[in-house]
Amino acid sequence: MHTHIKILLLSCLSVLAFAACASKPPVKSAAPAASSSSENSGANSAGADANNAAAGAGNRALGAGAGGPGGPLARVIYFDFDSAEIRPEFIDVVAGHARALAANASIKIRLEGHTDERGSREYNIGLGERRAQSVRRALLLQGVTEAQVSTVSYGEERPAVTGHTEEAWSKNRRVEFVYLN
Amino acid sequence: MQFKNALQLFGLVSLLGLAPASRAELQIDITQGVTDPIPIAIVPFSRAVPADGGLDVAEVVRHDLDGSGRFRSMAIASMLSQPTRADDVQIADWRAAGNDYVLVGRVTATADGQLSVVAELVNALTGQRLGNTQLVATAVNLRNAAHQVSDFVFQKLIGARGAFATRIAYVSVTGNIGAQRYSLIVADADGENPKVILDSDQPIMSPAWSADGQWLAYVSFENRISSIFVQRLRTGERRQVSARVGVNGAPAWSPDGQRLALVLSGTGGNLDIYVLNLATQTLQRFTDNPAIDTEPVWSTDGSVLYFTSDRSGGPQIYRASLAAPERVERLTFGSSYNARARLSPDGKQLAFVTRVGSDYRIAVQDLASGDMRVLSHGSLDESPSFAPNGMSVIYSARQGEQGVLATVSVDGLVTQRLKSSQAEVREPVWGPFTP
Amino acid sequence: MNQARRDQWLASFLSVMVHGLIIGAIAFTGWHFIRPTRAPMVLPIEGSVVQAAAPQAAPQAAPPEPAAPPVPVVAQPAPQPDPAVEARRAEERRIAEQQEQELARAKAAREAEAQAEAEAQAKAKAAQVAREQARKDAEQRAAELARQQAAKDKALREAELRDQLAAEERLNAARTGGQEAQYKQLLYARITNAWIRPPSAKPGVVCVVHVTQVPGGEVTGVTVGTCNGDAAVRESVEAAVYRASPLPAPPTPDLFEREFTVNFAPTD
Repeated sequence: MHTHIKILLLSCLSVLAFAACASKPPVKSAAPAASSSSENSGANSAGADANNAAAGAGNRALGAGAGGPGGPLARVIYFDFDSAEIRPEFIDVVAGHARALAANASIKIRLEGHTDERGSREYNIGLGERRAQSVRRALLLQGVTEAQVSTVSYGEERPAVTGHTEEAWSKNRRVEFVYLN
Repeated sequence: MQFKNALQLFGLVSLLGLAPASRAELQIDITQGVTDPIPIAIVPFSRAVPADGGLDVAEVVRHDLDGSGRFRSMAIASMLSQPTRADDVQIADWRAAGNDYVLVGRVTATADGQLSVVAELVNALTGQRLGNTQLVATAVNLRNAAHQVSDFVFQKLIGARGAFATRIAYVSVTGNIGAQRYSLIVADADGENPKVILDSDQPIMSPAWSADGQWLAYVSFENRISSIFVQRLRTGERRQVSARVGVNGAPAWSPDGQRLALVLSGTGGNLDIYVLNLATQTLQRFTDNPAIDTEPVWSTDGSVLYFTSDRSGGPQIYRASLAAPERVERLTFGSSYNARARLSPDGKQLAFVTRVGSDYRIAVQDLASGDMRVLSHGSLDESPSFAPNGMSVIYSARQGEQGVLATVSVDGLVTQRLKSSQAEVREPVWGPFTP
Repeated sequence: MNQARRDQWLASFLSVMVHGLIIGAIAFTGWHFIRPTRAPMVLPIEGSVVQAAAPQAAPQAAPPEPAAPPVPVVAQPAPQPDPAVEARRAEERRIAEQQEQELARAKAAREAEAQAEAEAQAKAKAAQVAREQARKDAEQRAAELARQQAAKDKALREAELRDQLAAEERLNAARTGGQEAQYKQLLYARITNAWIRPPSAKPGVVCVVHVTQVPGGEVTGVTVGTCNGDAAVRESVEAAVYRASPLPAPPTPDLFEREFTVNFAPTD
């Protein structure tokens, strides 16, 4: 129990730090446009700044008031192995996001589901999607409209932490709350 | 009276004489052999310098055959002579040096600027000529011609078509977390000649070869969601074929190249398998189940799909025909986790990822008997893919902190690590024979 | 079952058959001397007559019988003569009668004597015949017993001989069989380790290879016979025998086989 609180605090702090710097958050990247190329063209990059600004704005908006008395709201919740069930310690976090979204129907959020690296990649896409859907259902139950929530699953493709231990894996089994505006 | 005596005498004598003479002709029954590598001398070919672009054909052959684990080539330094013609091979010398076979050859420039490659195989035990191969190549594809020489030797002595002249595709990732770059690469089967065909800062997944080796399908997150593309290798032309709401994943070409089996989740978030007709863009639903159904694989005749489903709790391999998709048959048992099946070219075996204790390993299962054999020994082995001759499986493994590619023979006896690079490599898929 | 085992069975079967035939022949021909023959000899004496001793009981000839032979009574029709003459004649007659009687008595006596003598002779002769007969019988008996004994002895000797042969055979087989098995094991090990088995050499593949070697083990000829494997399998089994050259020497030189067969039949 205590370790989870520690993790929460750490993540809150780190998110705040990043938000303050308005720099690219660890697992966000690139723009929607033109991120791929065909055989003969060179490498691509994307207008990452536009999206980051938006995300930063979203973060700032949240940081300004959505956190409630405990502090800023966590952007990541974690899951047990092979499970999509929201752990009891994160129910309040989900509720906090639900409140923020329910209060303003124009705010849109994307839930990004992830898994640890073990097992097959496409099956992990399914597990990541299950987790994102689990959080989505919880939000919808708490008054958030469908149009506000989208989901994406990255499976094991975008780990937050490298490493092959349970400690690293536990930090990768997660859903991230990404505010789009 | 005398006759009887005589008969008795004869009888007694015969008793003496017959007893040892009843032994049958000497026969030895051999029920096993060894899997030792065949000792072969691959003599440096005569070169066509500078037309050959600096490529040592015999060296490529040596690397192919040694790497297969089924041959052991003689060190050049130990060769007393370097004949280039079978006529010049004195088998007694080569045999005395411990070789069973000798390969000699010549690369010569032709009048029209091409290169002629001739190789001859000689049995050092008997002096018999096992045949020769003759190829014409350009400087650009001379390496491929060398691989074809390896195929020729392999076919003669192992009795199976060599896969040295085929290609693989894989995903390569560089950079640290948060600044990673993803590339889709096509290379020779030995890892040489890598060519980047797609470069992205978003994940690329699940490359899949078309049966004719002309196209790759894959999943790209370039649009912030997963979407499926097909790309023609020779031209680089690419098309987005599925970007539906939710998950788009696990594309698999039908044997006739007309359809893609793929995975969609729709808005509900539940993964199911569909079949997309590429020309008409019509979708046919294959699974309709609250479980995760993914990773479809076509049978060789295109009538059946094998897939992963966790409808019984954990992921297992199932199959069903396209004509009756509701009649689902479970194929894997014994482990609580079996996923990511791939079918052998002859359709008789499945390779997949199985969990053994807490390790994830590659297993091969015979479809007729259900016999399963675990081939690999790592803890995070995944993404198996059969060679087009069905004799080995390429997969990704971890080597320390790095993701590497490895091959293992289907009998589990020969393993090989591919040429390693700085990058983390994953998701290898073995291309087909190109006729 | 492969060819080698079948042949072994055949060889064993044939061996048993021939042995059985030979032993049967011996037994059959010897049978005659063991079982009593039926015809044509009839032993007058049953029981155990051991020695050709003197005949104990003389044949029961008719005891000499002083039987008075019937005197022919000649009835003489007497004329009526004179008394003196008649007396004289009567006297003469009486004397003649007396003489006649005496003669007759003498004759009878002589005859009886002769008869007795004849009888005695006959008796003696019979006795002699009997004695001879007895002697002959006894001889025969003895001979037969001797033959019986001889036959017994012979049978015993033959049995001993057979036992001895069997024992020698077993010993032989143990020695040569053990050594032969040893030789086969040496060849098996050498060739197995020399056979680089291609993946297509699966169970069900059977290749028969005929090998020729010279003393010292050098392989001088390899011929692949019936073989249902592919070209790589054929290549590999031929190579296996050459790679195994020189072949190991047998434990004893007499076990060396210039030509033998190797059956490649993988089982796994």
